Amino acid sequence: MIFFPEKNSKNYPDCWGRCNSTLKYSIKKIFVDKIATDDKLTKNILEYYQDAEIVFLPKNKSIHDIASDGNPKHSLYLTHGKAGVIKGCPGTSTDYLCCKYQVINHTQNCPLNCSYCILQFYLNQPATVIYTDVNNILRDLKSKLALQPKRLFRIGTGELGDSLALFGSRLFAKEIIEIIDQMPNVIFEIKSKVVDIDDLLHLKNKKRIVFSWSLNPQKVVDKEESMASTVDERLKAARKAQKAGFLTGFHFDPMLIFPGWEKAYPSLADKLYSYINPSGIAWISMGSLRYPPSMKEKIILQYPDTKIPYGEMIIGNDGKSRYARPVRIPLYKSLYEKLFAVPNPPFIYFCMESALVWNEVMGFAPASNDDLDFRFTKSISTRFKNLISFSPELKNYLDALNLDGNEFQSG
Amino acid sequence: MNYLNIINLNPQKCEISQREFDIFLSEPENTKYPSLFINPSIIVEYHDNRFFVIYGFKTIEYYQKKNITTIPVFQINSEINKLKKFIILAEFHKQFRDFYPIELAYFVDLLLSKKLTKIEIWDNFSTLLELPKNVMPLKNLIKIKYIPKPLTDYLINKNSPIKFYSDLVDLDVKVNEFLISLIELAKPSLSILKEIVTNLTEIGKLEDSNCYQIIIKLKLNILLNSDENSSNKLSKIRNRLNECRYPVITKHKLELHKIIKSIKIPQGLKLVTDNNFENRQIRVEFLVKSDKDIQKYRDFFSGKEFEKLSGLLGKM
Repeated sequence: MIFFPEKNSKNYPDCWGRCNSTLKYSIKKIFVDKIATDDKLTKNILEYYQDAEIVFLPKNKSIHDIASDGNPKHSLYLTHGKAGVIKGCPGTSTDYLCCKYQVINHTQNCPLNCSYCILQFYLNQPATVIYTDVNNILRDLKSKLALQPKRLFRIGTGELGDSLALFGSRLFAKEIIEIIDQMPNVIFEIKSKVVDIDDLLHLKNKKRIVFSWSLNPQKVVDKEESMASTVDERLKAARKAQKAGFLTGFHFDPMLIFPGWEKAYPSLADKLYSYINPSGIAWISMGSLRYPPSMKEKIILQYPDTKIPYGEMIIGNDGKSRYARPVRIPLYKSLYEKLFAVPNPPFIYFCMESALVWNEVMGFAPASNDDLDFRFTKSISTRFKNLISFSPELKNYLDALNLDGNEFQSG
Repeated sequence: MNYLNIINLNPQKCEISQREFDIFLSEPENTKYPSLFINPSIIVEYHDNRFFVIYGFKTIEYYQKKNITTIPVFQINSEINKLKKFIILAEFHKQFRDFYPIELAYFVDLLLSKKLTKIEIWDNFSTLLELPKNVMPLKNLIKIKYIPKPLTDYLINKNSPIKFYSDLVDLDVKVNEFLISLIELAKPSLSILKEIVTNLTEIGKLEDSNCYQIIIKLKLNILLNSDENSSNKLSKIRNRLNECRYPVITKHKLELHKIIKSIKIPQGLKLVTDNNFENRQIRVEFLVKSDKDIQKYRDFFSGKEFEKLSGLLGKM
């Protein structure tokens, strides 16, 4: 039986109805697993997407049986997570440094339509999966974090989906914010390309919550991120988050080569700092376009007007296509030199880059993934006093396990 | 229900003026002793008091010319629906050989002209005909029909995968003419032709330009018609395209090459760098056959020339 919460009831979400309406109406169908029927999140999602067709999965039928040809961007699949909802970022290869970020794969897939996004080709579910057993996931998270109390974990929901683009993802983020004070050794990152954050800003717990946005020059957003918010909208939202007392983060990833990139990225850095005080930025990442070689044909077929697949790509040491290093270095330098040229600059790091590139662009390279993980914590504890209650020690990071109990594994 | 029944038929009575089913470039070669055939290679259908050929046009024409009076043929059951008829036709051809991409194009076009839906086509033929569902929409598949014959002959001869046909479908007439001349004058392998087409197309997309304009801009037509031998022509055309498609990589490679050339490397020793530039490393390979070689390499490794490797590393 489905329970629809009354307005003003305690089950009625604060951010009700304020999500981007385009994205709201992009969801046409919702598949509900029997096991998820009575979950609070399921009820709230069904109430929110009132115009969507709801299909309850019959016994002994999988989502693949029912929705084999479904478009995952237009349908949701509400179910429970099995093993592996919380895990370490898979990284890519030992040749490229990974920051040992931890991910909660609560939402898997994304309603946005970014031409370069690997998710649309990588995930094979016919609907966007949302795990509705929120309490189980949070209980699991708490117990896993408690196993390494002296290590600070950075964790987020933005790896296999956007943390805010779907209503269910937003509610999950809200749940985490509400209990973050029970988890003293975690920083939770809400990573997005949309900007509907107003309803989350008044939440009491602001410590150790990072609102972060992907950034690219507006020219790229217009061409390659057709459903995402504009750069100005993202920066305005970030400013609101900063004013409300939250940390912010920014991800220049994937950086792209296009006519005029040489000026566009430095200008974007200027723009970022004109909106946001750098001292309140927890971290900034840089990464350049990369994808499995087989994705090239798929991008061309799905986005015939994009020029993304025609960069000067090579096959990297991880088997992925990426810009050749002589292309990447000036690209990164153009941005890094601006980002770093402020007092008390944010922690700037590369996502999946070689020590060679770190050295060439930043003049140093972390000794290992563990070292990079430790440097994050060191930066956080130095730059944001009293954010964490323990002093970071390198020994707690060396050979440290991911939250799923596994060692870092290269992909 | 039997779908096909064997009957004996006078080839002269077979109607071949309607050629819409005549889509196969070649048919099974069993024309010499038709009366010995256990399995006929012709399918006819009977309607309007006539036998119409739907498979084996070239074979039946051969028999008609030879004035052979009786041959065994398959008559297709007139009660079956059009979808089944096409499945039989496809399966019948497949027992002899796979469809060439150009035959697939004609076949799918025929299916659409007979009002089969795209869904019916994918559901019933994608596995049977190995249609490249994920890489080529039907509309692109059909366009393979329009690739000029000299190009399709080359592709069939080289056993090209269907994907490469689809890379050619949107090229204009002048580009096709250039490629036909290229095949004739520069004799590229299939993989090199593919590299040339890919680079042309991708440069065109990057520069919002048509491929023929790229050919003119890079003077590839002049190179092709120069007095050089075919191998040199091909090499120069490829280099020019690569320089345009990968300008930064090409420049970097040339700089490294210049440094490597400036190092006096003893005979038998080779410096190998990472072509992808992801690793800053030089592998030094050398072959030792005699004491003289050992001395030669020792001199190299302890001399100034070896120190130049440091400069090479720095440039990488």
